[in-house]
Amino acid sequence: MKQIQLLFFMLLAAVGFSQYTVSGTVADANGNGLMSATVRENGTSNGTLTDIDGSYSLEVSSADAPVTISYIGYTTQTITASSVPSVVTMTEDNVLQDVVVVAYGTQKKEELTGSVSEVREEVIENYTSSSILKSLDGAISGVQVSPGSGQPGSGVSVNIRGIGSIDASSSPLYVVDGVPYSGYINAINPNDIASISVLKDAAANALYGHRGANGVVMITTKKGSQKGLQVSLNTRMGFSSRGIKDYDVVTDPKDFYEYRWEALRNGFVDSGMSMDEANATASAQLVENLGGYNNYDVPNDQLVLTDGTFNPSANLIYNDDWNSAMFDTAFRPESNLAISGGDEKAKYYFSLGYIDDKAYYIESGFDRLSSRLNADFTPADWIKVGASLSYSNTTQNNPDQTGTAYSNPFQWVRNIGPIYPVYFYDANGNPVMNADGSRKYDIGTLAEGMGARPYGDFQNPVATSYLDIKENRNDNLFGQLYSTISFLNDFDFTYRYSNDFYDRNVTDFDTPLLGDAGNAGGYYGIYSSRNHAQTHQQLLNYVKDLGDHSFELLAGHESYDENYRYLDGDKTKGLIVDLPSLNNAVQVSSLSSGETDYRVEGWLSRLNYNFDDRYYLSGSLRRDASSVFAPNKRWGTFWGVGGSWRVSKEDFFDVPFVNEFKLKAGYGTQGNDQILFPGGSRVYQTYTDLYRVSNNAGAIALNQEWRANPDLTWETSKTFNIGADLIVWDDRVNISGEYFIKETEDLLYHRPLPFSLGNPSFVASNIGDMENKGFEIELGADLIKNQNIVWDVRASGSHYKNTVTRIADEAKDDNGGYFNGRFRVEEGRSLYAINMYQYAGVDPETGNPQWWNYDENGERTKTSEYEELTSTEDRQYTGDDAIPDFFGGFGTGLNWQNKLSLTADFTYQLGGMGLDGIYQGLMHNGTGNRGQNIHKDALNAWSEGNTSSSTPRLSTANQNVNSTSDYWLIDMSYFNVRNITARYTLPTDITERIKLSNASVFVTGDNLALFTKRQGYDPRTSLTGSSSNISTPMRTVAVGLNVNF
Amino acid sequence: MKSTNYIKLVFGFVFAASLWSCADDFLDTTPKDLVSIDQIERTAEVGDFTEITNANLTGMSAIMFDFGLGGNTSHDFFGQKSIDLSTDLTGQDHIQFQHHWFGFDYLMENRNSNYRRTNRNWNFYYTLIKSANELIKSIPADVSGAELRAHRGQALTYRAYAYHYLARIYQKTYLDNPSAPGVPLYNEDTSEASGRAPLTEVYAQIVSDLEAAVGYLDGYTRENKTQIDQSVAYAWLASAKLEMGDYAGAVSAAKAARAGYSLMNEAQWLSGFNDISNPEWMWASDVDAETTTLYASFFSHMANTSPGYAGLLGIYKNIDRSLYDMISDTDYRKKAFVGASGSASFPPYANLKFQDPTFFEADYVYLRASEMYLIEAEAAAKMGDEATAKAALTALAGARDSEFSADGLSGASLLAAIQTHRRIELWGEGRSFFDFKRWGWGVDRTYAGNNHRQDARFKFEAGDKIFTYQIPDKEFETNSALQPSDQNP
Repeated sequence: MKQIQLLFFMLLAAVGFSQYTVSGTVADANGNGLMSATVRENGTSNGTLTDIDGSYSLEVSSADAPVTISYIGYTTQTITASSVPSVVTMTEDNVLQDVVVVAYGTQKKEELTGSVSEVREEVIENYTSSSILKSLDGAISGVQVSPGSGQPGSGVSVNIRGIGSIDASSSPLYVVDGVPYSGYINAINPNDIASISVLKDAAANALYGHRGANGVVMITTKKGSQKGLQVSLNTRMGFSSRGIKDYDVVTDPKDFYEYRWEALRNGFVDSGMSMDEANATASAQLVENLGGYNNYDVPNDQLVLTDGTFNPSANLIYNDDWNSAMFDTAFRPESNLAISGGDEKAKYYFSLGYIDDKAYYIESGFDRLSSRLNADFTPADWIKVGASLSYSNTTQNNPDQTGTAYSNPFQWVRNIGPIYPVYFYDANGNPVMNADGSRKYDIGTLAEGMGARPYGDFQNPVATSYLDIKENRNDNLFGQLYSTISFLNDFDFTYRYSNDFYDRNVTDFDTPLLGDAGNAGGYYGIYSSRNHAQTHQQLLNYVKDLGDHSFELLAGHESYDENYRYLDGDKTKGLIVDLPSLNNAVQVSSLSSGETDYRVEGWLSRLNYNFDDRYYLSGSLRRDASSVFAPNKRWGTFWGVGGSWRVSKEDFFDVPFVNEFKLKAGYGTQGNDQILFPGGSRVYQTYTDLYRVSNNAGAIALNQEWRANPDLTWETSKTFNIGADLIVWDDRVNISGEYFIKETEDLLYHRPLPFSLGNPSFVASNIGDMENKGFEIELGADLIKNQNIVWDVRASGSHYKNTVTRIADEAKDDNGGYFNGRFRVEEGRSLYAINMYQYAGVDPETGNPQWWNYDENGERTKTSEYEELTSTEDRQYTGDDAIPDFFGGFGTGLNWQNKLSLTADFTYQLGGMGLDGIYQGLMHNGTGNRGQNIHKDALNAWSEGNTSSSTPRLSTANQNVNSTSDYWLIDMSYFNVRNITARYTLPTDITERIKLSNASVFVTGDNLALFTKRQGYDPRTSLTGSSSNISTPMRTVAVGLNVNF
Repeated sequence: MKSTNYIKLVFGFVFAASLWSCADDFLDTTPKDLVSIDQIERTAEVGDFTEITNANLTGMSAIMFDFGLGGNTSHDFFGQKSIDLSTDLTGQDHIQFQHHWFGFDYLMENRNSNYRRTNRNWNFYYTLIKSANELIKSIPADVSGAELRAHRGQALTYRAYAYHYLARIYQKTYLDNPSAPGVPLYNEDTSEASGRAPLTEVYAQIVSDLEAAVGYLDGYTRENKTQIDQSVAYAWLASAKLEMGDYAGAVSAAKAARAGYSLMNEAQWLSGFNDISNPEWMWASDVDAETTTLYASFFSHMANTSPGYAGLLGIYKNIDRSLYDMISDTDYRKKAFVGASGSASFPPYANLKFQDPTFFEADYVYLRASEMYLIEAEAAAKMGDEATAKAALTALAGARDSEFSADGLSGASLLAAIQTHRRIELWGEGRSFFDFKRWGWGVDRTYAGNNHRQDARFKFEAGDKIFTYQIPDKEFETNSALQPSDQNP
């Protein structure tokens, strides 16, 4: 109340005593007058704008009145009227230091009431990656970045603050320059990025409430400034290689033959042979069993002697390494040119970028040609118009990386026995050449290869890498225009319209000569799609400063319309062996096309209030309708409130070394409508039964794919967030911490139906609640800061815990939960609580693996019969969780005289249990494919002379030797040397002499080392720590040059 | 331009754009990829309802050889033929040369409730039942149109066929204990989960469905053998009655089923069992270049001469030596197998019965007229009508083996001859597992000189739990009408 009285008093004072005139000019640091700068008597509506020379004149209430001079992009100054100099020199805001991009606008950092973190261009530019999202890894607390495949151009999955959903998408909303982005994220050139901010809680992102349940990633591109023409050339040349070593598999043919002999011999014994007979039979049949491949110069039956030892007189006659044939260091050039500039009327930013991000896997990579134009015009002081246009063309050559397909090179190299050659050799081990003088490949068939290779015969991924064509071409055009009109002093109205085109053309060609389609006359797959999203935004903004009170009121409307259509045709039986065109083939094997529409429309409003830069309040409300739901279930209401208090601004707060101390809290709701089919694609009409029409011998076949639920509606998350920011010791140390509780209600969930009611065996329902709770810490410190040296450190860390709080009754089995792969979901436990059969070690008597078998009373005994185990009785919670305990990143930077700088960034994760299925597969101990390689650990298998081994006995007969149990779990902790960059900036006397404003050279390395529990295992591959046969991330070392003039 | 003009211009633009995006039906989208039930119903209203019922039936026929049902894309599931192959391998007469897909079936340990096999089989039949029930519900029992009557009859046959398999996979034989728990039983009016109905109830529904289907399909001429006609309903009725011990019913149904079919000649028998135009085929799938499931197909696994798992990777499927030795040298069916000494390309006893000259476009057979002779012979022999039994056996075996004679066969020897010819004739066609159960036979892969794989030489007595699959865990997890004690041992 006292404040309001004060306010009235001041207003009266302003009316009553108008008697002092301030005049002069407002200029920039170079003395150029700034037009349209605002000069205002503080706390009143009394103000004026400067003219074209920057001059002004204003009558104020008294000589003591505070006068505020402000200009966009410059720091606002408040000076007592009598002290205003004749030339007020404005200093440029270091805009990106103080302002962060938030929903539908920007805010100063100290104004934030919600949880927002940011990565800026200075950090992004160090990374040598074609993906903008990789820069988030370890840089922002609460964000988990899983690169998935290391193949350049492939997607990155981003999880913000835990697991958002079960059967709906968990990926965040991407917003580029203010509008939702549905295009190809790798189409965006990291060099064009000014900042990426992540809105993590409801107070920050409730304005995107309809699609913000999984967080919002705001990507802001660079804009022109008023500094005049600037040209920036940025080029780097790098080398990419495999980032982490493969699993420690057997590489010596001798070891492989010995292992196979023992497995065969034991298999014979298991099926009733005497030991002597088994020994002799194993020696006799060894090479035949392996398809007739003998890498040595002794007869087949004398390779491994009947006592199991390798023939000492055998000499290698050939021994190829698939790794070196398949993988090679790749050269990676990248160049970017940016031209920017402007004056008070117009600002522009134009860029061109080219990158050839070749992968270490032969014949694969990603290249991108990108261009961007951002332009803003201020034709009059009441109107501002702008447009941005970006186009990029990308081509990804991407090998097949689907699971255990033989054509998947990453699966192949670690799984093929080391005795099998890449190239064809004659009986004496001499290379065989093709007619054209090139090396002939071995394709592992009796007819056309060296033998009947049991592992992937008729395949040779090295050969097919050259012969197949897996090309994914994308054209991405993103354009938006906006216009802002200011009226009635305090209002402005913005209309924004954007178009986002994402066209894909995919060629999936398998050679007719060998491999997957070798017997089909080749496979000719052509896929073409077009995705077009349009956004219309109408925003009305009202900003009012009344003394210490300032208000910002936003009301708006937004509509989003996304249309996707595709045409997909496949043929077999082609003529020309290297022409991947449908017109080169005759047999149609599939032809399809389709279209989907997704539309959202909503109304939004927000109020930001600030008192004296001490107290901040914000509230937002949004109502949205989604086309995904039935008409009467479409609308959802989402809201958020937040407040913050800059305690350090209070008079009573008198701690000299504290520069800033701020507390904040927020609460709100967010929605999710992205229900998925079990295969992972989105469902666009959830309220109707959906059927697939397919061909059956020329007749129309109709089968149901989706069961309607007309009651299905928005999944809602409620987020509570509190946090504190602390800056101490002359701004040298800053710490911020946040605690959050995110409760997701009415989960979009595939409620299972009784299995015997047929497919689809589920119906989507809003059932179940889930909670994620956690905290995040970010800190930074300038350990040394003087004229010569700045040494800073920074670190971030996050922890969260997931709890499923309610499960649908229908989803519960008799024990009150359900199994989901290796997890079991029960109320009160994590969604990723591991529940598996329990391994009980190797039976020292027999060498067989054992598991714990529980009876009704929970008493357990060991058994070697895997078949006896039942999921209801014998699967047990291991106490582990696939969610890590703590994860984040840290880094340090050293800068000497702004000439030499050195930065290092690291990421880490502690805890969490993943399942290493690749290791499990490599520990088949003889039961896998005859030609399949094994892990070196298997060489230490149980035997009569090694009864204490923890690895079961080798045998071709014990099928359950590597059956799934908790034995295959692995700690997901890792430590990654993310990036190290050294940069030398040329001294200004030199750059001036060669007419440059700035020049620097640097050397940088990405993904330099990864430390994990097991060689080859990369816990980052998936968020739940499951290993898979996909491209392991690249290590890239590059040198670069940045020149500005 | 004056500033007021600016305003008019901009506001005009903004306003128009705002209105354009706010049309009333903005949020109503039309499915253009999958189709909605509304679109289907509208089509039925403006067009011909039979087009929809026919599409539903064609959908079931597509499921018969579908790969990836319910999202599972293992290469060892492709509908009925994968069930045929997996059950055949879980027995005596079939051999898998190398461990690979179907390896655990051959090792006789793929029946457990937590394994994929039982899960897939269950899901397959119950999805057909669900589709059949919806179709039966949409066509009233007293419908008059000839085509709709035929469609109802086909749906009833699908349902009966599915239950006939479920009952035999998930329980011992009907005659072992007719009141033993069968499987959950649904009809067109059921939408709630149900517990295991006794075999008597399951078979009562099977028989009543098939008898009704025979009526509905009377006089119906199908377009092709992917559809069901009266002969198919009769055939499954014969099979069900044989299982139930209603031998007279089996004889008459089998006779009715085979009416109008002729047996294959030698050239046809040795041509690879791959063409729906075969005169003896009664019910089949017509696989083509578009619908082929390629490597995940029957001929990939079964045809030793095809470039699939069998032919390319050497996962050969061979015949049990003792059965091979029972084939008379004058029986041309013996030519469908590589002899005891093997051949240049194939190991001993490799089958050449299934061959595919195309790239996995071979058609699948589910019912052949030969089986009807064998059902008739077996049922007649069981009921003591040896004249009928001999006549039926001679009609078939005499066509296969010029030297065949049923003279002197009687009682046990007659039944044994019928059984032998059934094993030979239907080798690889998914009958042996159920036949051995019905005959009360175990599996013996341990006899001297056998050609089973070293690690697969097992012996199981008849009635062993190995011959009854466990109900999948997922059914117990989702079906509140089932208790853990309802599981098979």
